[in-house]
Amino acid sequence: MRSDLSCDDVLDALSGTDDEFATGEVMDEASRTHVGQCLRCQAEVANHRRLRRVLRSLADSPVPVDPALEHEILLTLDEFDGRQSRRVPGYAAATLGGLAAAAGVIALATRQRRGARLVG
Amino acid sequence: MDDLVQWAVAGEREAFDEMVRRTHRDAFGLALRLTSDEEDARDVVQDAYLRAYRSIDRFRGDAQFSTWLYRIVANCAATTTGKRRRHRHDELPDEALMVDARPENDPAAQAAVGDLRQQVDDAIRELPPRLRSVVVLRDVYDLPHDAIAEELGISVSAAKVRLHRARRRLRERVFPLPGEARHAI
Repeated sequence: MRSDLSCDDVLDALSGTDDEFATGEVMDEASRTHVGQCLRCQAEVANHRRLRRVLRSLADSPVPVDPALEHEILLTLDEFDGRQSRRVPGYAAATLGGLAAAAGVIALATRQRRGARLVG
Repeated sequence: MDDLVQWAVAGEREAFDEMVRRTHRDAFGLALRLTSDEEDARDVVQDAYLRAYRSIDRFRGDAQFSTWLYRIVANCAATTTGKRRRHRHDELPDEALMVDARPENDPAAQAAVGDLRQQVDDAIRELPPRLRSVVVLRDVYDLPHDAIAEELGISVSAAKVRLHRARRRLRERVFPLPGEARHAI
């Protein structure tokens, strides 16, 4: 025999703000009796648990962040402090570093080629 | 991190800069989930760090720095989305439910292409801002009800009602019951 609760009552309570109930961890006797005998509500409790678990995990799932954002924040703080900022954004420094390294490799290769021609 | 916070509270700018480097990705993630708009989220994060910097000497350390920062982000996001709402009049009311015929929202197609986390993230994005903010702050970032109410400028009971509605809509969207049409939120 089912309890007096309807499935809608249980579904409504599952979305409620009592976190233990909403995850199906703690239920009152009437709800537990109903859920124990109702396949639909058992599925709903499982769904709510999954939903809450996924929601919690979202905080740790990274979102793509523009590398310039950090620089923009620090510039805003510089401005507030009245500082004349001489910051070079990290991503720009990395690009400049890469270009400098490439230029070095080209210069070295050119010099080696010249040296080889002279020997020849 | 604790030492950094103490140095920052003592007025060390370098310490605060380092905290920005360590925390801005998470702060941006929260801002993006609250605003659902990348440009707004950037503005919110910049504003939040400026506010945090200006009031860091009032940070008591009885909560984690991240929790304190999240509250500031929530407050800035509420201001931004409030302004946007006042300037846009085409927003659907909270209660509006429309049948969504887009193929990408077909359950079979969804199951084939998207995992559950993506579905939940999408469903959150489609919630009305007033519902989205409470479920993100409570269920994703674990802020207490009273903190959420304070930062959003609403009563605790209003925050709880919105949370209840937000969860129900997410459940309907992500796990529709048999016979329950999949609706846009």
